Amino acid sequence: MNVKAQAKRIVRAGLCGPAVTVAAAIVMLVFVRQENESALVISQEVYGPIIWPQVMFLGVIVSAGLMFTSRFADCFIRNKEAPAGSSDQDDLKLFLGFCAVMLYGIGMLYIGFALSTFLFLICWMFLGGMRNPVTIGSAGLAGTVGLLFLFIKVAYLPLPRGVGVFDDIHVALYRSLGIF
Amino acid sequence: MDILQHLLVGFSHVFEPSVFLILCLGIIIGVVGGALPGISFVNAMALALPFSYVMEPASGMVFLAGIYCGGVFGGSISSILINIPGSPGSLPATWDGYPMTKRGESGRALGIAIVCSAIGGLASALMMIFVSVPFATFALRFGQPEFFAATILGLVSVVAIAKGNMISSMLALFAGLVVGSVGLDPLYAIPRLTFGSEILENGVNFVVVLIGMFAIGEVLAWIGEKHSAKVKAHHDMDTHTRLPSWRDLYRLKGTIARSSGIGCAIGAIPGAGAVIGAIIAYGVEKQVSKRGAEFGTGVEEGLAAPETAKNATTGTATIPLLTLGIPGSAATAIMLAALMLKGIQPGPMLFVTSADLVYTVFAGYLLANILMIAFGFVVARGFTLLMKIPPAMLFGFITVLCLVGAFGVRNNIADVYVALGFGAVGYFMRRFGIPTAPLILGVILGPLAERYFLTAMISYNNDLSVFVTRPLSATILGIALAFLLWSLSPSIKEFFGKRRLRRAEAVSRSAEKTAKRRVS
Repeated sequence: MNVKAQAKRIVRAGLCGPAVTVAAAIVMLVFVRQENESALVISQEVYGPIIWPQVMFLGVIVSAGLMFTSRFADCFIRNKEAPAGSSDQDDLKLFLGFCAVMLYGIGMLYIGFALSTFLFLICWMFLGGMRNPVTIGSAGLAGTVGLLFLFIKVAYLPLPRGVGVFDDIHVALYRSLGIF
Repeated sequence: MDILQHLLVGFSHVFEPSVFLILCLGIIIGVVGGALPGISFVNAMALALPFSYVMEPASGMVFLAGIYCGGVFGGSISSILINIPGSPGSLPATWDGYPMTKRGESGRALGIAIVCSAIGGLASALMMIFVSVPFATFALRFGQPEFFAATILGLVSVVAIAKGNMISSMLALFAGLVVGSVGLDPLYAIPRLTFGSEILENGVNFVVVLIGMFAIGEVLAWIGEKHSAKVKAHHDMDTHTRLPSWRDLYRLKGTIARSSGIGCAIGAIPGAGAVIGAIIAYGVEKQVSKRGAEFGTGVEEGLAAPETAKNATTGTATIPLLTLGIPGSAATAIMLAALMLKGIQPGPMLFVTSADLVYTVFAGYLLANILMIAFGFVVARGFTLLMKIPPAMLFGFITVLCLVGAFGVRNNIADVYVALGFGAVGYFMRRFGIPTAPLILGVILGPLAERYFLTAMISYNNDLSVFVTRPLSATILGIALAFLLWSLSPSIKEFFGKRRLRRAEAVSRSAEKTAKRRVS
């Protein structure tokens, strides 16, 4: 079997994940010892602050090692075929959905909770298959206003108001809604 | 007789119109708060605490007890309907509750959850009423080694539940334990795995991880699903919550009895709580049930066990609070704050100086678990009606609620980014068949276990043998080991069975060869 086919077989057998995990855990096991000098000094006398993470990293190494061994044996010794990947996923929509959620989280800090929530709800409903602009717009608007009342007026959560002009927009919005 | 007389007085207080209304309000707030992913009943209790200041002490405590009992159950509504636990203790409800929903049996699943939670809660309340005083003496024997042993029992249960997926579960659990150790260590306040970041010095909060892995992960899984799968799932939903039949309940009697006992026992251990109780009950039931191999596919016992156990922790978790002044969980810590603010000192003398208050609280717990059936139905019905709205809209609002919930944990935007990160991790873990629950449980139990371990080592001069020389600790660790071996026994039997078969085949082949040689 040529190198390319072997590589494909290794990927399909899911060996890369456990191998990378073992390597990363070994690196982190060494790192946690070197991270803090005081921790190292304390640990020479007592079961100190680094003993627990070290034991847990050892656990990760052992588990990932067992997983690697088991999958290796399945693929190369027992010659079991790895299960085919799921065809139920729309990867493009997933990627767009993930970007929408990430941008919402980042946007909350810069443009404020109200604006980012409104924009996120509209994008999400569109991505989820809704197409009626009136439904999307009104649900987004009503939902955003309702959530503002619930979280800011009732629960007193200090949700981000954005920076610069967005902060001013939020203050004006809260005043007009009677929240401030 | 003394206890019963006091209890009657307690009931007379609880049935006063104002106190009764406050109890009902508390249960509704608890169930709704618990059911909303990202909010959780602990946040609901914290928000309600200032309102309890203006109430009479008994009314305030009954109010918080109502939120507690309702909230512990409430998280199961979202677990069952949308596979997003409303609170950590409701995580096991996703394992068999959500598959029942996918089969179109959400109404039945909710009915089982409500009734089993009520029965577990009632059992726990009765234990609290009759066992509080003798328990106080026993609880004083629990030290750091015993608390550590109890958390180990919880961690072992997580792996024991995994069965066929044990290696993946172990990996996820240890990864969770590593995540839980990020931040300042519990004794020396030395930063670990922070990479110099101030954000990471605050540690990774388990609520944020729960929200990220389950809620955001679920939302991403939904958006990535192809359209046909989404439409089918939406139309098959059964929205009529109904009580389980007497026959169903009779069939579940063993499950309910076992899980009530487990929940009551675990709840009495400070720091153990609903999560550990629910997981251990699920693990035990999986071993004991004739349908153990089907757990995870929508088996009634798999739902009834953790639901009974988690509410069975509520009453007994209040015992250390009332008898010793030791809160065993965030919820009981809030109740302690309410008592202290009223100038009431919990402890053994509380039963003497404020017997009326104590027995009013007891009566409140009993009544809350009965009323929870009615209110649970109403709120569950409301949530199932919510499921009729377009999923795109529903999941959009769920995402907002969850990210605000993540923010609200510490009023820190960094927690939102941590939730998003774990959302991606949760999605890919699901996609590659690695269970997510052990990771979250590792994040929850890891810091507890580490704190108990380190304080035990300081108290006992770094002597590791203390965990096996102290009888209680040794017993709990022995139970953990027995539980692990019990869950591994089918795999061990299969392994030795295969070895014996291979040896027998090898002997038979060798005998055939010998016979052929002789003939030739």
